[in-house]
Amino acid sequence: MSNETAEPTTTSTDSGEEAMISFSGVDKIYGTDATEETVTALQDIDLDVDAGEFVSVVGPSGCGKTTLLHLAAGILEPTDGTVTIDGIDVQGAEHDRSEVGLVFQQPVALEWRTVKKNLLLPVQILKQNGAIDESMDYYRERADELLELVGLEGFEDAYPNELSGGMQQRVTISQALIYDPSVLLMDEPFGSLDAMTKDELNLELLRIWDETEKTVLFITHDLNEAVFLSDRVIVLSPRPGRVADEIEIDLPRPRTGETRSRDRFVELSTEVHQHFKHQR
Amino acid sequence: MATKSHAHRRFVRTRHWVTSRVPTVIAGVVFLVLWQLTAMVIDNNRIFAYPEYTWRQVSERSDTVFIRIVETFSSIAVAFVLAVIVGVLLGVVIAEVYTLRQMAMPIVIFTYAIPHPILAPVFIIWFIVNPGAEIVLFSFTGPSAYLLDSVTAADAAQSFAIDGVTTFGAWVGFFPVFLSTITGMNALEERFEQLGTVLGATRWQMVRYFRFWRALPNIASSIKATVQLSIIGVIVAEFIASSEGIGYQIVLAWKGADLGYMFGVLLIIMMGSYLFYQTVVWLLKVLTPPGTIE
Repeated sequence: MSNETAEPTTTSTDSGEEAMISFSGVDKIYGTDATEETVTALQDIDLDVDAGEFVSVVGPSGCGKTTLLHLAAGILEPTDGTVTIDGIDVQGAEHDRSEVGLVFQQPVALEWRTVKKNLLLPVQILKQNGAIDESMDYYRERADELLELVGLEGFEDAYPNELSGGMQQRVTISQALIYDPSVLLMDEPFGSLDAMTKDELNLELLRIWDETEKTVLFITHDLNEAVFLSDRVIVLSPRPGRVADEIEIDLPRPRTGETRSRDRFVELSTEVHQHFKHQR
Repeated sequence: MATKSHAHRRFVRTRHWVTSRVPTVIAGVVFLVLWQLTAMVIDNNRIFAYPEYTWRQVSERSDTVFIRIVETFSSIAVAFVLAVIVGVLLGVVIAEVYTLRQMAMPIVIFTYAIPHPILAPVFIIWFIVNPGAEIVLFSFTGPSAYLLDSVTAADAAQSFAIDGVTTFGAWVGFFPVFLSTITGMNALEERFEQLGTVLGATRWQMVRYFRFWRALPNIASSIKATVQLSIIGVIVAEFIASSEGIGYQIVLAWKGADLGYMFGVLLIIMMGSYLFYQTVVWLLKVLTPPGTIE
């Protein structure tokens, strides 16, 4: 987890094929104090997500999906191994905060700020800390563009509690997109929404992903959602979480509402379901 | 047609405003009637003053009452502002510094358990023994000097000062604000902490953008309690150790068994407190984001 381990991977960037998000030999053990009972949440995780790739992680509840995501976000520190973003250790001082956007399961819109001011909050913090360079005016304009992109134009001055759950989640996604990170980490972002809104936001997310060419690591417990969205689905085993299976999703893009009724979608979905069942 | 419906809407709104105040008016009339009836049954102004007698007693000394009321409510305002500012600032510091919180909380809880009035003499002594301890914020010539020839400008000079009376009022009002700031700051949901970590927010940024705002609804509701407490604090201090303010006028009325005057003064304090409370609530509504106060 020191810079020495990060160094060689950084240099290998020049050789071309370099993972955007990379877990190498990662263990996460909770309660390492001698007094506590220890729980191994993740074991031997080796996982690479290429730049521009959309990867979903599924697995039984309690298998450490969120832990995996929080390791990539730098919220948690791995007990063993390293997690790198663009070749840089996320625990190191070199880690560029503006490269990572985290989308939470619940809205992180602050109820005392208007929608637009909520969007600008990450910018204010990152800018004060010198992580981004553009002017505030640039981001104000960008906020307007983003609100249009996610279909919230006209709601700039609304307060979050005046919005529906789906709209609040759009604000949360825009909040992660405002500073244009190259990596989006999404923790069951549509888990608390109704099926209709979820489908609608899935399509929207794919459209945004297509337009912005971001690398996405997506956590979900909805297997169909994982198949619909991803290039690759990772199945984790129950605790301790290990990478049990990887399924390539070769459905053509762009994917539409129609994709769900294709034979190949049903096949892949069934396959993921079976892999998943083995992990129970 | 449009103007007619507009006028109609205004009529409906006005009618609603009037009807919603009918119960208040009825309550006021019932209060006065009951007061008069009780006074008629007892028929002794020294035990239970007639409304008319009360009015006469107060209006005879309206200049004094006016000056003293301004004096007392100036002290209350200073005490209130002090309580809020010190309470929030100290609350933020204690909420942020864990070791400090561990050390301070037992002392705070212990101090909070002391009945407040027994400490009033202590505050008064500190400020009498040490006259330099009084910090005059600013002085002005009270409005009564311009209204009434009988009052000299010197008599009517008011000063917004931090003295024994105001510090005691601030002390009493301080605790709710202080404690609710700590509670509110620590109530920030985990996902916001995580968002802060992802963005690399500093501790100060966490306070400035997240924690303080999370505490604001708590602070706002505790400020309402502080209004009442700073009024109590100031008037109790005036009872005990001062020759100033409306509290001292109550003491005078009490010593002279002047119940009419006392009733009048009490009613005026009630009205003053009500106005002060409503002003603070209005200010809170204007100054805080929507939804902070229910």
